[in-house]
Order: sequence, then structure tokens, then C-alpha cells
Amino acid sequence: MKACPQETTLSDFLAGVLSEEHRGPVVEHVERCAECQWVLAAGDGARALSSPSSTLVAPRVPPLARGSTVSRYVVRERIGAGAMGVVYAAEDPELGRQVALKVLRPEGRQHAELQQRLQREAQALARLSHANVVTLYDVGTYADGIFLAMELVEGTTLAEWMKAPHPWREVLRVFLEAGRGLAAAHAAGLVHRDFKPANVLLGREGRVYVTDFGIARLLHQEEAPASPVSPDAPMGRLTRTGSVLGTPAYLAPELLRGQRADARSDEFSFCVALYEALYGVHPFQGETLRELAQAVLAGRIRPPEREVQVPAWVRRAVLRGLRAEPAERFASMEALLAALTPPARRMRTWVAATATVTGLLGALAAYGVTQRREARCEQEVEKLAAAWSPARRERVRAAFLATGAPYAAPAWARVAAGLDAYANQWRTLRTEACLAAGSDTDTGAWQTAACLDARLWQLAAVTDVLEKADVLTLQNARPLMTSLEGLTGCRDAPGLSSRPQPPDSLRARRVEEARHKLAQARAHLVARRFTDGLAVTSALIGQLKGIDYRPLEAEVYLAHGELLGENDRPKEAETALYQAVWAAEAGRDDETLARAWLELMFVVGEALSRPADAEKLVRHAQSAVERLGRERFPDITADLHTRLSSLRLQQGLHAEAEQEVLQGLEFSRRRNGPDSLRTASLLHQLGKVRMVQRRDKEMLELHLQALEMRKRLLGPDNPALVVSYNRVASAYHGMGRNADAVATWRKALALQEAAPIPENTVLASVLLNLAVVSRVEGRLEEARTLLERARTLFEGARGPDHFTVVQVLVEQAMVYGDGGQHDKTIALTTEALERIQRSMGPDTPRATLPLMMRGYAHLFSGHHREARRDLLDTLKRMEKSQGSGGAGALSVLIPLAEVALESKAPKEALEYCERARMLTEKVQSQESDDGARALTCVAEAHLALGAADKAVPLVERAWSTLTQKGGHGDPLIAARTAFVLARALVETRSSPDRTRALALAEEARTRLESVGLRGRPGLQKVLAWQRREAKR
Amino acid sequence: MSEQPKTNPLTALLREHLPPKQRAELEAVEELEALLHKHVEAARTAWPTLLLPTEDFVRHLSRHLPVGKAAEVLRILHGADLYLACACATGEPAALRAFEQHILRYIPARLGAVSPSMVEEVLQTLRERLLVGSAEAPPRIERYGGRGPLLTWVGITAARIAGELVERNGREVLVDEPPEAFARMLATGNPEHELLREDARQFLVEAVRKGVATLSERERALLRLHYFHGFTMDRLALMYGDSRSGVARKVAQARELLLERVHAELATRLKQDTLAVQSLLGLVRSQLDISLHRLLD
Repeated sequence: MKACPQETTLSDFLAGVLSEEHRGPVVEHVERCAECQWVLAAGDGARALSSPSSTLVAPRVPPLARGSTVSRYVVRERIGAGAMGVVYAAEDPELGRQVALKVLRPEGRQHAELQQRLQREAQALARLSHANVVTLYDVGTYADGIFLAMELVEGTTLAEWMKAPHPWREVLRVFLEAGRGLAAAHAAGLVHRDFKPANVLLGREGRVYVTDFGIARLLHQEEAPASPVSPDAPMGRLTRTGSVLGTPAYLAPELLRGQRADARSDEFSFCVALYEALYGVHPFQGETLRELAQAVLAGRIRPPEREVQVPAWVRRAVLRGLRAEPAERFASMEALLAALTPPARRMRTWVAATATVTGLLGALAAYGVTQRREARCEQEVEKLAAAWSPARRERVRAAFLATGAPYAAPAWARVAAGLDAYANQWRTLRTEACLAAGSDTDTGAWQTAACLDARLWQLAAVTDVLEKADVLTLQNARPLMTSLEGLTGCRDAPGLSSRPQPPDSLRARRVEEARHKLAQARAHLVARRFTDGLAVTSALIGQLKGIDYRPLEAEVYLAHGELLGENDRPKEAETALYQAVWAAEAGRDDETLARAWLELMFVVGEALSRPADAEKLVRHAQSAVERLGRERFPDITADLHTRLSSLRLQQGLHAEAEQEVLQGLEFSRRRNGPDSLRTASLLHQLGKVRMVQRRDKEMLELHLQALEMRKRLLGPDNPALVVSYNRVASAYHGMGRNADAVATWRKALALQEAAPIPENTVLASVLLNLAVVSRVEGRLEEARTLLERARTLFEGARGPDHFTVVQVLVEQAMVYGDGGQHDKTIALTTEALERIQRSMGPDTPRATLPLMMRGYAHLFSGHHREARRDLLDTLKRMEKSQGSGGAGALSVLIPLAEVALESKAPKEALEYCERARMLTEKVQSQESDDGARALTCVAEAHLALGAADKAVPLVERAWSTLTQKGGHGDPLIAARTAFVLARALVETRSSPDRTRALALAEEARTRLESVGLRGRPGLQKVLAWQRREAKR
Repeated sequence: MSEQPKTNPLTALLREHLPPKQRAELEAVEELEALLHKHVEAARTAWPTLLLPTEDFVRHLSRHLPVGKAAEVLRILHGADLYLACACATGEPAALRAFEQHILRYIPARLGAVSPSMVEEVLQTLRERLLVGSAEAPPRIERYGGRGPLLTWVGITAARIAGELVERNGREVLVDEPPEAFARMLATGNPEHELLREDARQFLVEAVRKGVATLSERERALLRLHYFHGFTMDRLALMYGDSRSGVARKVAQARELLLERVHAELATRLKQDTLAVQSLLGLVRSQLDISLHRLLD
């Protein structure tokens, strides 16, 4: 054809409706004619706006134009339409990556239902992260529909692929991968419910992805069984009726009966598709559902229509999966996949993933470079042996068992399973990346390969550490494993997951070496071997100059700073971390930047308590995480929430702390699954927030939950649990359950002492807490010794002005107070006050504790004016940081009332007491220690006002609360209540009960005597009263 | 399906206007009445204000059913578009407005990098040619057959007109861009390229140009259509009458082949320095997708 074709011919050519004889000449012409190509492009609109005109296929809905935006995504082209929506290729400019954008087609009546289905898809997918499942990045609303942004898989569907016959090995490779995706979904508690070839994608590089979990429901979620379908409904329309979800040809028979879908109904659908792919025909024949179901129930399998070579073991496995009775199929996808795995491969798991290699060879053979590439890829993959070979595996096992720790065997089992899985995944991904890098249009492949290699150094570093395992390493085996996560990240977004790579290969080798060492330092950090870690990072810092590569510098300084921070050297940590920030910024390394800001937030905000600087750091950290993508880096995001909440709590900003941790928990549960160390940390953090809010029951429940979760993850004997035990014990203590508290602390101490770990601030916290109990129970000497130890540890680790030191100081002051040496209390609390104001500024809410205690001491010393001043100051600070309804105000209001009483101002006292009572009513029940205290306070004020009748019922209630609790609370509080009740009973006009009053006063006396010096001021009053009453 | 003209008015209408020898073809069409009804409905819904009677539309449709292909065309027909074209051919003012708003409006974007003044010229010529008839011939828009979107058809016509205008006054070049652009484009925002010496850059451009020259027409066309013109694999599959995966494989092969040629070219020139070859090749690979088209003329 010489002349250019007419427009109608070209239009038909584009639409694919030219007959064969016409197409040939047109193709021939177009291939030579640049102008016709250009004209066709104008017609196709491939580079311009898409067609606004309507067709029968997509009625009335203008497709999204190229360049239009959905949320932050920029539409590139339409790539398909499924039952539930239109799919576009789009760009995420924020993260600079391509995504598949699935947009719900707004369609009248079914709109709401479709939207629900999409949303379900989103929820289901968000819980899944697996190499063979399409990753979901984002969900949101768009106009009156919703959209899902997910991994863009460029390639074809399995349905398309199956149109041509393929050798059984190739079919098996593809289905094994898809099956692994399904198995992962099942492990996450999801059933696909609509597995079919159209819902499986084949990436260009050969990887297989299961998608369209549109109707997958949570396996354990309550759901009404689907209603049965009319059995004679014609096949074609069934998918649209909606009463049975799924495509009938692939549906398991039990679903047609209206039963609930489970993993085994997916297994059935999988086997139908596999049979079809192997033999080229659908296994069951039937024009209607009834006929189809009959064929299934009778087990009438349709024979292949062409000559097909399939090994007997494959056929056996497929037929078993096709049984009508679910119980007769394989118990799980894993079992089916094991049966489908070639026997040879089952034997030699250590050899490179041959099936994958073979699978891709077909496509490459034409190029004549196959042999070379295959050999090279095998070599690449063999690098794995350096990190995790059978020999090394054995050495790690021996090292674990040699520790003799009681939890060594289970710890090894967990580690072995985890590392084997990791190594397998690495091998698969690396092989694919290698083949793709040499063969395909995938420009991301080399990045993926580099990213995977970086992960391999990490693995090697971790196994290095494990090989020399001691008890300390065992304790941290789990966090070590967790630090390995993220191989799929290399494939999904290698540009984001991999560390930046140096531009020239000369430096690359040295950077690689340095990173290998750095990975060792990280492993030390996770294993809490700070000295070893610091030795590595210090040496690396010395070598940085010679390499002159910014991202590496950032990584090294970050690790150095983290090690210093964890090792309680916050000032040096700060310096190192700023180095990391600068290097990361210069090297455009966003991930390291975010981590460095987070670390700084902790070091400067909490460890060094510099609130003004902390605010700036918070902003830096937040924006860095945002830039990085919250969903992409769930670990960093969860850490941000935990750390920010912790910082806010330390600053006394309780509402913000609560909001932050709740957000974090929601996020972490969604992204990290039900059990994860990060979720546990967030639970503990929420528990701490609940403590200052005095929501005691919730606090205890949260800490117990976190403890249980960490026990499951770390093993029950792991000394890392000390932190959790400490929190649980504190919770018990806060609720007045001292016996439980002490028992729990003892457990913590025992764990700590059984492990060869140097004394640290965790231990100091346990000591401080035990000291509080000892003091409250009157063992002042014991308390003193414990506090001395705690103070030395804290001061050594955190410096003299740190809040933890101030806490110990105040506690020491209280020991003096309990011993009646109020002048020493005043001196110590004054010192504590000065220290905390020095580190956190004059207005810090953290000053409330020493101020309040000084107020108490003044009160006990009879300095009413000073007591009042300090207590009012405390109240003011509390209200400023917590709002006027803060629960903590209770401990100020009651002594303020006492001061008022002592100053003969009973009306003022009554006001304070009523406020205290209102507070306890609001934040907890009156049937608590605090409730009883508030009631006693009100009663005492009434008594002072001469209204004993009003006092009696109040204090009776308080007394019954305290006695019902079995006397666990502070004896001082009980004694006070008993004494007030005694006085009220005598003074009441209606029916004085002198006998009971005297008995109560006696009870008060006993209790006061039981606490020694601390009870002396009260005791004197009781004795004086008893003497007076005796004279009557 | 029974044949009762009363209950199947559209089918009857179509039969009436079809040449007798073609009528038999309709027998093979499943649910013909419903299908026709769907097309009419699509047209009515898309253009509720147009007045063209259904009968005229069906008559128009009957003229666009090629012999032996009636069934196929009816299935893929763009009914609403065909209706609009037919209404335009009758000169209905509302139809002309709709054509302006729903079709012509999108034409400039499809012409890509054509200067604004020329776009105006194209549009004007387009209106004259498609919408204005003469004593001898009806408006040319009548020739649109509904087998692809109307916008596609008009887009092709517009591009043809643009081509004619260029040929006539020689003001602009439609298709070609100088290969040297490759060097510039490699340089933008690519720090690795900044590190290359000037002579290495020249090597690179030269090697790619030579590599392209060794490709077959088909390979070059595939790369050009996909990478430059942005045709999706689905569209290419339709055009080539091949499966999607088949086309995708061919495109990938062409790309791979080009890379190999470039590799060979670089290797002969930079014999001593395998490192340099590798890094240059990496550069080509990573930039290829966005730059290939500039050398494919």
C-alpha cells in the first residue's frame, strides 16, 4: 500500500475490526509511515485526553482523562475494567512511583453495594503483605465513588495467559506462586472467595500476583451465610445476581449450597483453574448451575481434549482439591502446595529456585544469551550462602543450645523458621530480579537487586551475631529478626526501600563493605550490646572521610547516635544525630533523615528534657515521616506515635499524649497485624497515659495485654520482659494491690538478675518502685537503700537534673517525711525543684511533684502559709497542663483542705473537699482509695463546721470502701477515715455511738502505729482525743 | 427467537432498509431487537435534546453494516456516536453544537505539539470538510460508521488535515525531533550523566542512533508506537490482531535487541573499559523508555 489509508480504514484498524486481508497492507504501510503513526496516535488519544464519547462497554461514564487527578494520583492511562471498577495506570507524584488506580464505577442503584464491596477489598488487602498478592497502598474517596491505589503490575492476566497451552512445569510454577499468595491470605484470616484466572496477574518479569480480594471476607468474622441460588439460573448471569459472590465455574459446591466460604473453598477454585490450565478444559461440565453442581458432586471430571503430559502426582493432587466434600480435600493451601511441589525440589531446598529459572527461560531462549544469564543468576543467588548456609545454620543452633538457657530451644525454633523463610524469599526475589535485570523492560530490576543485596548484608550481620549467641543475644533474638523485615519492599519500591547507591562502582565496593560493618553495629544495637556496637561505629566514622559518600555517612552517624542514646549518653548522641541529619539531607536520604529526627526527638526531648528544642524536632520528625509515606514505612510511623506520646506524657500534656498513642495503636494494629512488638509498646504507652488519667482498670488491663503479647513474641523467660513486668506491677501498685505489685516486681528482679546484663535504668526503675512500696509499708531503711542504688544508676546514666533523678530525690524526701524529718524533706524537695527547673524551665508541669511534696512537708511542719503557697502553685501548674478536671488535682485538693482546716477555715476546706469529691466521681468510682479520701475530706470539713450528722453517712461509706478492699491501701488513709468516723459518731446529735467510736479510734491508733514515724503526727491527735474521751 | 414484526419494530425497520441479500445476516444476530434497542437508548440518553427520528437513525445504521459483517459491527457499534454523526449530517443545529462541545473540543489535545495558530486552522478546515455538504455530496461526517469512537475518527481526520497543511505551507514539522535532543534529555536531572565526559556523551548518542538503524521496520515501529505515541499493549494487540501478551513480548524483544546492539556498539568503541561500557549501558537502559522515541525516525 503506497498511499496513506483513509481515515475510516485507520479508525477500523485502531478498533481492530479490519479483516485479515485488509490489515496486512495497513500494518505494512503504517510501520513505514511516521505520519500515519502520528495520525493514529491522534485518533487513539493515547497521549491526549481520552475519549469522552460513550460506547456500549462503558455506558455514559466518561473515563478519567489523562493528567486528571484522583486524590494525589495523576492518571496516566486506562488499563482495564473489572466487575467492580475501572483500573487506571497512574502516578503517585509524592512517592514518584506508578500505581494501579481502581476507581469504582458509579452506577445508580448498585452504587452503595459496590462501594461496600470495594471498601471490603481495601480492608482485606491492607492486612496482607506478600510477594504474590497485589499490595494495597492507599484507599480514599473520589467524587461520589472510592478509589484504591495499589501496586501496578504490568503484564497480563492468568486468564489471558491460559488461552495458549503451556508446558505443565510452567503452569505449575505460575500456580504455585498464586497458591502461595492465597496461603498468605489464609494465614491472615482472609478467604478470597472469588479465585479465578481473571483475578491472577502475571507481571512482565514473570512474578504472579493474586488480586481482586473484592469479596474476601475475614475468615473469623461473623457473617450471614449467602443465600442459595436458583439452581437453574443460566451460568452467564450468575455473577451479576450478587446472591452468591464468585464466578460459578470456579465456585466450590458448598458455596452453591449457601455455606460459608473458607480456605478449602478457595482451594477448590484454585484447583479448577489449575486443571483448566493443565488440560485446557474446565474440569466440570454443565450448562446450568444444577448440571454443574451435579457434575461436581458426582466427581465427573471432564477428560482433556488434547494430548497433555502431566505427571501423575500433579494430577492426583489436583483431583483431590476438586473433591465435592471439603473434608476430603487438602486441609490447607500449604498442604496442597506441598503436594504440588516437584519432588526433586522438595529434596534440595538449598539449590537455587530452579522452577523460577526454568519458567523464565522459555521467554528468553530466543535471545541466545540464556545460558550465560542463568549461570550468572545462579551465581548471584549463591551469595546467600555467606549469610545463611546449612553449616551456619548448624553453628547458630549449637550456639543457642550451648547457652543452657531454659528458653534456648523454643528460641532456636522461632529463629530457624524465621530465617529459613527469609532466606527462601530472598532467593526467589533475587533470582527474579537478576533475570529481569538482564532481560526485561523493567528498569527497576537492578535497583531491586541492589536493595536485596543490601538486605543480605543485614542478614549476614544478624547471623554473625547469632552464631556467637549468648543469653543476651537470645533475649533479643526476636527484635533481631524483626529488624530484618522488608524484602518485598525491595521489589515494590526499590527506590524507596534500598539505601541510596553510590554513583560509581569504585566507591560502591567500599560503601558495600562499610554497610556490611554497619549492619553488624545495628545487630549489636538490637541485641543491646552497646559497647560492641559503639566500637564498630566509631571505627566506621574514622573511615568515612576516605569514602566521601553522604548517605553512608548519615547511616553511620545515625547508628552511632542511636547506640549512644540507648547507652544513656544523650549529649553525645545529640551531636552524632545532628551529623546524621546533615549528611542525610545532603545525600537526599529521606529514610535515614526521618529516623534521625525521631531519635533526636527522644534524645533531646525526653532524655535531655529540652522542651523548646523538642517542639522543633517534633515538627521535623512529623514532616519527615509524612514525606516518606506513613503507609510505606509502618515501623517508622508506629515509632513516631509511640515516641511523641511518650514525650507529651513526660511534658505533662496528657490529652495530646492520649491522642497520639490512640492513633498509633489504630495504625499499628492495621499495618502490623494483631501481635507485634510495636503494638505492644503502644499498649504500654497507652497504659501509662491511663495511669496519669487515673483510669486504673484500663491501665492494668493494657499493661497485662502488652505483657502477654510480648511473652508470646519473646518467650516467657526473656529478661526483656522486665520492662513489661515493671509496668504491670506499677499498675497493681497504683490500684492499691501492693501484694500483687511486689510479687510482680520480684519476678522482674529475678528475670533481670538471672541474666548477665549490666545494671541499667530499667533496673533503676524497678528499684525505685520497690522503694515506694517499702516506704508506704514503713520499712524506711529498706526504702533508703533501694533509693540510693536507683539514684546512683539514674544520675550516672542521665545526669543530675534529669526527671528520673528528681523522682528519686522526691521519693527520698518522702522517706524523710515519713520519718518525721520534715526539714530534710523541705530541703530535698527544694533541691529537686531547682534541678527540674534547671533542665525543663521554670514553668514546667514536671515541677508539680516536688512542689506538692514540699507543700506536704510544710503542712506537717505547721508552716501553713508556705504549705498553702506550694500547694496552690502545684494546683495552678496542674490545671495549666491537664485542664481543670485533671485527676491528679486530687492529691493537692485534699492537703489544701487540710491546710484550711488547720488554719481554722472550714468553709474553704469544704470547698476543696467538694471539688475533690467531684473529681473522683468523674474519673473513677467513689469506691476507691481516692474516692474514700475525698469523702473523708468532705466529712471532716462538715465536722469542723459542726455538722456531724452530715459527716457520718459520708465517712461511713468511705470506711466501708476501705475495709472491703481488705486493707491493702495506705494505712494512713484508713486511719484517718477511722478517726474522722470516730469523731463524727461521738459528735452526732441523733444517736451517738460511743462504743463504736472508741473502737474505731483504737483501730486508727493501731494503723498509725503500724507505719511508725510516718504516722506519728496523726497518732498524737488520736491519742489526745482518746485521752479526752476517756475523761468523759 | 420468534419473528414477529409487531413486537420487534427496530428489527423490522432495519430489515426494511437493508439490501435484500444482506437481510439473512440479521438472522445470525442474537437478541437483535434488544441490541438495537440498547443502541437507540444509548443515543437517546447521550443526546436527549437531539430530534433525529429513530427511523432515520436506523436507516443510517443500515448503510454502515458492511456485507458479511453486520453481526460483528452491531455488537461493537458506538451507537450514541453514530447517532450524533447522523444528526450532524442532517444539519440539526443542536447536533452541531454537541459536536463542537463533545468532539471538537478534545481535538487540540490530540494533535499534541502543534502550534495554536495551526490548531485553529485545522479545526476550521475540519468543520468545513466534515459538516458542510455540497450539491453533489452530503457532509463527510456521514461516512463515519460507528465502528470506533467518533472522537477517534475525527482525530484521525484532523491529524490528516494537519499533515496536509504542513505539506502545503511547510511551516512546521509534525513528527521529527532532532536526535541530539537525546543528549540534552539524558543530561536533565541525571547526576550520573553529568559525570560523563563530553566525548562519552557523543559516543552514547551515536551508539543509540546506530542501534536504532539496525532494527527492522516492525521493531522500530513497535518501539515508536508504544514508547513515543503511548499506545497501550491492548491497543497494539487490536491493531496487530495479536494477543496482548504476544504484542508485549514483541515490544520487549525489540527493546532488548536495541539494548544489545547498543551494547555491542559501545563495546567496540570502548574496548579497554568494560566498566565504562556497563555504566553507559545502565544509563541507556534507565533512560530508554522516555528517550527512545527521539531516535526512532
